Order: sequence, then structure tokens, then C-alpha cells
Amino acid sequence: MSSNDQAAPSPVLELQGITKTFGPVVANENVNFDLYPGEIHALVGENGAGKTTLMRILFGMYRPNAGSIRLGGREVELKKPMDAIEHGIGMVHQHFMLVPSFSVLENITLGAEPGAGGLFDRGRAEEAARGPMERLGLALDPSTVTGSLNVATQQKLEITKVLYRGAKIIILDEPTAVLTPQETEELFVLLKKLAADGSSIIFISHKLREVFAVADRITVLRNGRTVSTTPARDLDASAVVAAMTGRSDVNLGRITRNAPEDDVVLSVSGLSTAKFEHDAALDSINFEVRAGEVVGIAGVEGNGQSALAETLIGTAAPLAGKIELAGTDLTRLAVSARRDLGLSYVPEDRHREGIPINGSVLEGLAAGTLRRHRGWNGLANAFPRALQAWGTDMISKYAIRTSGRNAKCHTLSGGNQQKIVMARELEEQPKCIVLAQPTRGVDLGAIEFLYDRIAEATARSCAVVLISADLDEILRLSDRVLVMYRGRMVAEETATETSREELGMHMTGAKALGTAA
Amino acid sequence: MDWIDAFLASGIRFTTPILLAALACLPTAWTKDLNVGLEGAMLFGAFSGVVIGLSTESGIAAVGLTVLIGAACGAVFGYLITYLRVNVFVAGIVLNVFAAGATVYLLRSMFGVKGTLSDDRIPAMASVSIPGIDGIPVLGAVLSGHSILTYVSWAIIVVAALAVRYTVLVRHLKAAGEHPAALTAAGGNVTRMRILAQVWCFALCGLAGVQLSMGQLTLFTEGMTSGLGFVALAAVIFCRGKVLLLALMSVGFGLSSAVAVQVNASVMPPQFAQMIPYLVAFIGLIVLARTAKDGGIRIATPVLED
Repeated sequence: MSSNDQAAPSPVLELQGITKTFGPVVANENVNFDLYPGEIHALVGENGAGKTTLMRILFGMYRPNAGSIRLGGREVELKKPMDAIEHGIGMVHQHFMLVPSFSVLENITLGAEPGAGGLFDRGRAEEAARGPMERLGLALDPSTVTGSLNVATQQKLEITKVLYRGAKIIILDEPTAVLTPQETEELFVLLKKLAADGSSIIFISHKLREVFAVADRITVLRNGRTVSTTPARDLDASAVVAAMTGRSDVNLGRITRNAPEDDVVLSVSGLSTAKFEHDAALDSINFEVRAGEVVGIAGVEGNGQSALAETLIGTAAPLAGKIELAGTDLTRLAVSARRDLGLSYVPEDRHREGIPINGSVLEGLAAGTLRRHRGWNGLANAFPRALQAWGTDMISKYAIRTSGRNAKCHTLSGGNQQKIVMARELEEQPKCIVLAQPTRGVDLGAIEFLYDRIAEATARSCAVVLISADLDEILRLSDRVLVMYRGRMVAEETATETSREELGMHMTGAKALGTAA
Repeated sequence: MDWIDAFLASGIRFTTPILLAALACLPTAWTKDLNVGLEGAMLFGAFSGVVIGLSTESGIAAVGLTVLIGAACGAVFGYLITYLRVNVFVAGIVLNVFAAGATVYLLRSMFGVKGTLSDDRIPAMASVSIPGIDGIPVLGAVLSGHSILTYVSWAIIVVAALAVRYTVLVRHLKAAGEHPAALTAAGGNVTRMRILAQVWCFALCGLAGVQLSMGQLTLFTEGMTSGLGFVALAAVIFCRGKVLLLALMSVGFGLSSAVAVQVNASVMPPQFAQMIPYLVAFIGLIVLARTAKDGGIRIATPVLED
């Protein structure tokens, strides 16, 4: 690269002409990628652009159909993850690869335990883990149970594992998805320090802000091909978005919407629940959402957002408090009764709760209609011709890319699956809709489309509760932002007058105001 | 004091097969492939012990070969549930039903016997009397005069407890169950661990079966496991992966079985007394489910494939 100012050092890693196909699907086509010592190289692209496939090839999880991998100038074959590890490649996966019940030490050394004769040598393990832990500033008792650590510490532990294995090339796959803005900043400082120490880092992300904050160079993939590799300082966000989407008109700013009306649609008072399996208990939650208003619920995951969504729609029962929809008390009503009164819901786990993953597109779209077949009606034809025609209309109205209404849902991309869910829920013409992580795993083009549909819904006076881990999403769509921390509402801000940093402070509980509770 | 001695000695006798079967099942609980076919595997073990004992007239051959055959069957079972992706819960239940039928059929076709096969040529397990301790009341009944397999089962407790603390193997077994992707990413082999757990399970179930058919009596009766495998399964679910707790539970079930036998017919009808161990297990499971933080343990819940 001409961008390297000093006498160009040789790359530690070169991927040349990598092609990988899965049956008829081409995941990578003639992809080139290189990495220099001490460099942070970001790999960006939409979901399905081939980032993950490329990294799995590099980590020995897939074999490429064509192309070569060179490490330090020598061509290598990586047949399994162990080969990659032995060549000094370490991967921090998107989902934590930590055994929750194990101690910190056991997790760091898993798969490469020091000791002879199959015995675990605790002393030597502690010795070997100390160096990597110190490099990351991880001051922890090595016998701490991993599951009890917060996510930011677990993230550092993942990097410790990689360093323990002696990795010189570190791949981070969407590492910030679970972190607060402050924790993300901390991680970036750490990554820059590691790079300064000579490690080379591949940073996979689709969050442009982060890519620009940390990367030296940016490689963009689209539809399995390399679009460009450019030094970060020569680029701006709109250029990267254009490269990622192939379009130059993607809106990244605030969504324009009508001002909210005055009448309150959803009113929640004193809502408390018992402890959830993977989430905090709600602790006397109060808020109101007016007609045409979008209220964003921000917070680090596990602080009660899932509990709130489930309690609002009625799949979980509250211990105390009241939920009112346009003056009707919903608190004791079942899910179907709440839906009949005009409450809609887009669940956060699309595959398990949003769509019939092994069912057809039509079944996914028509679930709201099928729900109303009660009693003897349950024996009637579920999909009369009119309903089938309606399904076809919806596919074109919501621009769902599919081979037809009878295609199986699992053949669709995440964005198109989410359009099915949104179409179903919004076509009910709800008074209020609860959106939980509505654009998780959805590509930029589809996100914009979904936001426009949400804006349309508010224009016809629908109240929106937007629960999201993505602060940008909340700031782009919401009128007001409420922040949850340990099951309580700790802050309320006006979206246009707050900042990511301020919300981040609230999310860590640092600036807890006693007012909202 | 004689009744205490008799009660304790009988309690230990009942404990041994339960303990062996529970120790067999424990690693399969670690790998989250809980083997519910203990009952069937034990029944096959009991039958195999008697058949081999009868033909070789050697107790050692009976035990050794049964364990080897068990290990081989465990490898096949492990292959079924990993490579062929058979649901482990279904496979276990099939094993129970199959064993109940197959042993009856084989008993008739091989020996022409209905119900019970009993023969003087079936070798008995040596029972060990420890001199000195033998005569002491209570202690003697607990420590001395049991079948050699009883002492083997105690040794396995110690080995298992040490293995949990000190070996890499047990860590990998547990990781294979709790977070398989983490083990794979770390360069471990999940499939090998899952198969290994089943090999151990079947080998030890073989021992448990031999203890039943050759430990005190030397005979094989149709369905002679009579639910002991399920009691052991309850102990495994109770103990949440902890070896010493598992041993304690097994002793508890063994003693309650002894109560059932020792209780005088004037106190309660024997049919009623025989329910005691199962009632204890049932009540225990309810208590466990009420107190577990995660709402009890679900076995073999089908998961959505990616």
C-alpha cells in the first residue's frame, strides 16, 4: 500500500483470490485482504457480505475453493482452528466462548492446559496467564467464576485467552455489540495499545463510528467481493456506506417524523416483576407514550428491557403495577386480549418468536389473521384465496425479497425476515407497538426501509416503544429516551438534546437520578 | 443392636448398584447427554455377567468381559447420538424397552428358562471380610463383609472426586456440555468427549448389573433391576454434577430401600414399604425443582438447529 509512510514492511498476512461457495451460493469471490504488523484493519460490510465466511476461512473453520493464505510470506494451509492457533491467529468470536461455570483461569487455559499426564497444573496455569492478564489490565482473582463477571470483563477475558495462546494476529468479530459506549472506548484504547505492542488486529464491524474510531485501514466487502481497501483517514462515513450498499442515497441521520400528539396511549405505572432468567426484575417502572410518539428504551442488555417487553405484551405477569392502553387496563389480560385492543409486538428473538422459521412466508405474514380463527372457526380453511392474495400484496408492499409467498422463512435474509414480522404487526393498525431490537441482524438498506414504515405508523397516531441496544437507532427515531439500569428507569432525556456519551453515563448507573423511579 | 447391623449391611448392599449406575451416568450429565437408559444397560450387564460366568465359571472373566462389552456398546451408543444425531433421550428409552424384552427372549431361547435363571455353576463375587473390623458392631456392618464390587464403587468415588479437581479431561467433558462452541474454538474435541462419556457410562452400568446378578445372589431374574436405574438417574439429577453429593444421594436411596425390606409387616404392608425409595426420590425431585435457581433441570430438551 502506498499509504504506509515508512519503508513498507512486509505484511504478516495476505489473503489472495479467496473464493468460497456453499452449493450455488457464492459467499466469497476472489477476495483479497492483507494485514501489516501493528495495524488495525477494519473489515466492514452488510450482513451476508461475506465477512464472517472470510474470517472462518482464516481461522481454519472453512476450506476455501480457491485462493491462497500467506502468513509472514509463506503459504499455509489451515485445516482446523488448531492450525490457525498454532500459526499465531486468535479469534474473539461475536458470542462469548467462555464456559460460565468455569473459573477465569480454567477458561483462559481451556484447550491448552499446562501440566503433565492429563493433570491440570494450577500453579503453572496461573503463572502463564499472569502476563496476558496484566497486558489487558485485568486485575482479577483467577479463581473467580466466569459467569459472575460483567460483559466488558468477559470481553477482556476473551482477548486474554487469545494472548495466552500467543496470537500475533487477533480477529475481533463485532466485539462491541454488548458493550456500553464507555466500555467500547476502553476497548479501543486497549486495542490500540496491543497494536502498538506489535499485534495485528482485524476488526469486523458494521458500526461505522467504531470503524473510524479505531481502524488504520478499511476494507469493504459487498456481495462476497472486495469493493475497496483504503486508509481510514482518506474516507468518510458516506463513502463507506456507499461502498457497502452500492447506493449513494442512504440516510444515516435522524428520521423525519410528525410531532407527537397530546393524548396518552400507553401508560405504565409502578410496574414490578420477579427476577427473569436472563434479565433483571422490573422495579416500579413508570412511563407514558403519547399518540404518534416514539419512546426509546436504552440500556445495557440484561437491565430489564426484555422483562419490560414481555410484561407489556403479556407473556410475563407483573407482581405489581398497572398497564393501560388508551384508558383500558391491560394488566390482567391475556396476550390475545391485549392484541385485540390494539397492542402489537416485534419480539427481539426473531427466529424463535417472530416468524415460523420452518414455515412459509405466508404463514409468517398471516399469523395475526389466523389468531382470530376461534372456536369452530379453527376448522375452517386457514388460507382462503383472498388471504393468499393479501400475502402477495404484502410481499410487494414491504419489498420482501423472496421467491414467493410459499418460500420457507429460513431461506430469507435477516432483513427480509424482519420485514415479514413488521408487515404482520403494522398491518394490524395497532394503537401501540412494542419494538424489541427491531433491526438486529438487519442490513442498512432494510433498516432504512423499516424506519420509514415506523415513521408512517406514527403518522397515523401509533405510539411506539422502541427497545434497542443500538444508541444510534434510538437517537435517530425517538422523541424521548428512557434509560434502564438494574430494572429501574434511571433517566429521561429528549432525543434531540442528548448525546451518546450522556446516555452511556446513565446506562452504567453512574448518573442515576432518583426522579424516574 | 442386631437389627441396626442388619439394616446397615442391607443398606450398603442396595446402595452398591445404585451408586455404580449413578457414577456411570454422571459424565453423561456433564456432557448434557444424560443417559436415561441406565436401567436397560444394567439389565444387559446383569444378564451378560451370568451368561459369561456360567460358560467360563470364572467371576473375573464375567466382570472383565462385561465391562469390555459395555464399553463397546457405549462407543456404539455414542456414535448414534453424535454422528447419527439420534436424540439421546429417545435412544435411552429405546434401550430400556429393548433390554427388558431382549433379556427375556434370550433367557428363553438360550436356557429355556422362564422367570429366573439360577445355577450352582454361576460363580459368586468374593465377599471381603476385614479382620478386626468384622466383629465391631455397626462399623463392621458398614465396612466389612461386602462384595468386592462394593469396594470398587467406593474407590471410583474417590477417583472421580480427584479427577474433577485435578484433571483436564473432566474440564473438557464439562465444557463439551456447557459450551461446546467454546471447547471447539479452543481446539478441543466435543464429539470425542460426548462418546467417551457414554463409553464410561455403559462400562460402569455393566459393573452395576453384575453386582445385581452376582454380588449377593447368583441368579438372573427377568426385570431384576426393578427401577434401580431410575433411582440412580434421580440421584444424578439431584446432585447437579457434584460427585460427593451424588454418593450421598445414592446411600440415601440405598438405605431407604433397606427400610423397605427391614420394615415389619405389622408396621405397614410390604407392598407399601416397597414404595419408600421411589417416594423418597419423587419428593426429592420436587424439593429440587422448588429450590433450583433455574427452575430445575430439563433433560434432553430439543434445541432449534441453526
